[in-house]
Amino acid sequence: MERRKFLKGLALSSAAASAAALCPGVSFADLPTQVDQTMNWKKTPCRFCGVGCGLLVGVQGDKAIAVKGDPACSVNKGLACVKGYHSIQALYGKDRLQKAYVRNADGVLVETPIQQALDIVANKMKETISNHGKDAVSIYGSGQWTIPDGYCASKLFKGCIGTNNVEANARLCMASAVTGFLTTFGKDEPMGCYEDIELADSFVTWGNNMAEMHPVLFSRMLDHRGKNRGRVQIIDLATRTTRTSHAADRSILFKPQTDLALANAICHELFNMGLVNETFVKAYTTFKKGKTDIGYGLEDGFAFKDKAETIDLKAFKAFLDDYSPEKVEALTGVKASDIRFLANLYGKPDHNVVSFWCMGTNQHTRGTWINNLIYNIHLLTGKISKPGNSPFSLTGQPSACGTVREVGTLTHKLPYGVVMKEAARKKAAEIWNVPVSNIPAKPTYHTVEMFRALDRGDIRFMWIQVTNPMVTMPKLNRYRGGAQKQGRFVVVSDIYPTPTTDIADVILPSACWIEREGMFGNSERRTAHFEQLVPPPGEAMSDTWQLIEVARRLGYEKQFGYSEKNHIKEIYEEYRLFHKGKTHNMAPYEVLKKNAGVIWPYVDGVSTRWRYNSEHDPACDQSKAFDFYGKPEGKAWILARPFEPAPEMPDAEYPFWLNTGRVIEHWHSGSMTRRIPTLHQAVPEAYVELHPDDARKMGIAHGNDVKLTTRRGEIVLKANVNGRGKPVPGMVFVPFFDEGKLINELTLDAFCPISKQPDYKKCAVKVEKA
Amino acid sequence: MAICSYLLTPTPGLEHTVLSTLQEFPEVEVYPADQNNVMIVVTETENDQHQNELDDRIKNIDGIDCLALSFGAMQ
Repeated sequence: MERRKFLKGLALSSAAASAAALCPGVSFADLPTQVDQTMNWKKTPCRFCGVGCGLLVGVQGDKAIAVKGDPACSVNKGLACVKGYHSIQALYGKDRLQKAYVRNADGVLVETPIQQALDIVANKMKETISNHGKDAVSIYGSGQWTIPDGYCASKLFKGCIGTNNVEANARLCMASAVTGFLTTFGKDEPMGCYEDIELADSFVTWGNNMAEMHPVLFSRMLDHRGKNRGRVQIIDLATRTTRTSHAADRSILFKPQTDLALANAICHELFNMGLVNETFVKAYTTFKKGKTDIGYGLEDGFAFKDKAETIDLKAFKAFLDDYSPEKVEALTGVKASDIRFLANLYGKPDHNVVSFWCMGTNQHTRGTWINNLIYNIHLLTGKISKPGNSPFSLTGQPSACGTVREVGTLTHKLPYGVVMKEAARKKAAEIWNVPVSNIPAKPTYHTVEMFRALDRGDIRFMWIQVTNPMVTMPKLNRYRGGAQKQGRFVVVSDIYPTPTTDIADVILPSACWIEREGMFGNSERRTAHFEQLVPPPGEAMSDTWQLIEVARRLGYEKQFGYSEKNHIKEIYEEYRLFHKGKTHNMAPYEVLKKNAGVIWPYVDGVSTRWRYNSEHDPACDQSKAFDFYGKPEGKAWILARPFEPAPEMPDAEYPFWLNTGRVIEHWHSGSMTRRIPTLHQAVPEAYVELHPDDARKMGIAHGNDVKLTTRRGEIVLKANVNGRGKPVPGMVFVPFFDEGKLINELTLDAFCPISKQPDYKKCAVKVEKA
Repeated sequence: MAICSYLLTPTPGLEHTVLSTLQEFPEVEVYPADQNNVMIVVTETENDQHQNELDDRIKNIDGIDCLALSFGAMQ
């Protein structure tokens, strides 16, 4: 061992010994030890959820062999959850895709060199465009795309080919959050950050099982409450009792869809109890209403455009007259006293409140509206954009924010602005080095409509990257059938065989996570960089490089002339140009590399942690305390949104609600986590949760076979009674991670007309002992 | 060559600021405790003059309650 290394080891050991003597119980997760000297610990954001935990991955040779939480990351401060601790095992499943496959005339997938497969993809795109037009090709990506993946997809399809047929699976999870932000604030993404957790007095979770879905953040809430017993409390609002409910100080159950009425009732009581912050409301908000009776998107080609009208405070209060606690008690199932409790909690002065929500509000046929209504509560009380006071829309996927929302991989979006605005198209054209006439001014299809178009034949070619729509699309049978019709060509880039690769004409093996360099953007506007830490297996290639290879074959060498060695840096620095300015500036590449994530806006070397607050946000008009600069006059909109029922409710023939979701052990459609033995053995197959009273009435015991039938399909699952979750009577819950139990064959493809996001939480189902 | 290690106690609430400032120094490696109450700081400089200059820069960082030398080797 050389002398320098020896001395450094001595220095470290000495300091560690001193620390242990002075601070009993102290530990240092990333301290190099004698054993670790052959192992390289490198930082990365976790592969899985939108919390965006920082991990340290231990690499030895060409393999990732260890993982721990990164104490230098302020998101998780060294903690990880069960998926994070097992994350690297997702790279090493036995049936990992290492080669490309092309389906031959007999329908058999044949192993093919990847360069040849990429030739086939490009040629098929050219042929489809030539025969059917630019809008016959499409790409469907993901909130698990890295930022460079999504950026290249957008640039290729929108800028070069000239079609807005770009969508991503975040349409299915976050679109209502986006339209909620845009309609209320004019700008996407939360105004607060995770630091609000340690500054809050109360937490209200709205339809979100945070204990399982955002576990590390929930751990921070529990830790904060534990250190502040008697002052800090957690209130869980849900349609089903979960682990979050059990950990909460109070669990309040409401009937499905009636969160709309509940939120309005809270606002009603804020006025009634004199808890409205009138000064804040007058200075920083304006009252609006939109259209009502807006439909559910069940018909092909359904179109809706909202229209906002200004109303005054008197009209808004009159609107709330229908939502007194007594009037909504029967509708919601929530006692009037609980509604008053919530109003008092939100409204009482000098009491910081953080609201958290995710899929329960977003996967909702009025998802935009319920997002607006939660913002209404925080705007009426002035508890927003201040440390500890935060309406916080949580994100599910690791980069639904960073890629889909910020890069703009949706039909109507560009990296800056929307396709409908000439200025945004001009900006994109300049940065992308394409004629502005290339970029179409009209959006084409949102996700559900895109798969409907594939079914109809208006789309003939679809490239699917890092997502599994043949498990996750609602009303699945139609869309699986449509993708396999004559004349359709489907390319799938993935890391494992899935029901989606099963229907592919070409399968491209993808590099996964730390097998390539990239960036993710998490829920709190934090962009996190990761290096390539290990090589991908076989011929697997990053989704970014697959897109570049195809783009060059299509003749776009000039626009995709990135160097192989530095292409991620080059792409990121090009993308960053779109967001220059105090409202969204992104940290330079070199800053991302050195830190465990950096929050944007990043202005003059400082992250803006609380937006719209002049004390913290340099983009604000400094003459005002608050400036919601996404809206005219800097005023956020308080929107009058009514209760409207779900499109398909339980009836005599289908008397139960069907609710779907996840469990902590499994990520999405399970293609990774079901190949991690510990996680798979913990929850090996999907099941149906029933309320014990319902189970008893039907003679169903835990573990019995139960048949579920909707108007769209049927399935048999094992009953789960008195397990981790308990639906209310008249509801069943099924997790969707199991590709052998495709619950989405039963769900309905109704969506929020504003966001186009489907509702996976509510349709009508018949339940029978099988 | 000078190699030293220190125990650094940050002011509560400023742990992250101190950490990120120290991480900017190319001569410094810093290892925060999992409990965030103390950090190990290892410095490596060319000579004792450079070491003294670095010491001064570190001591001027806002948010340090205590900086205690644990090991020092100068050559």
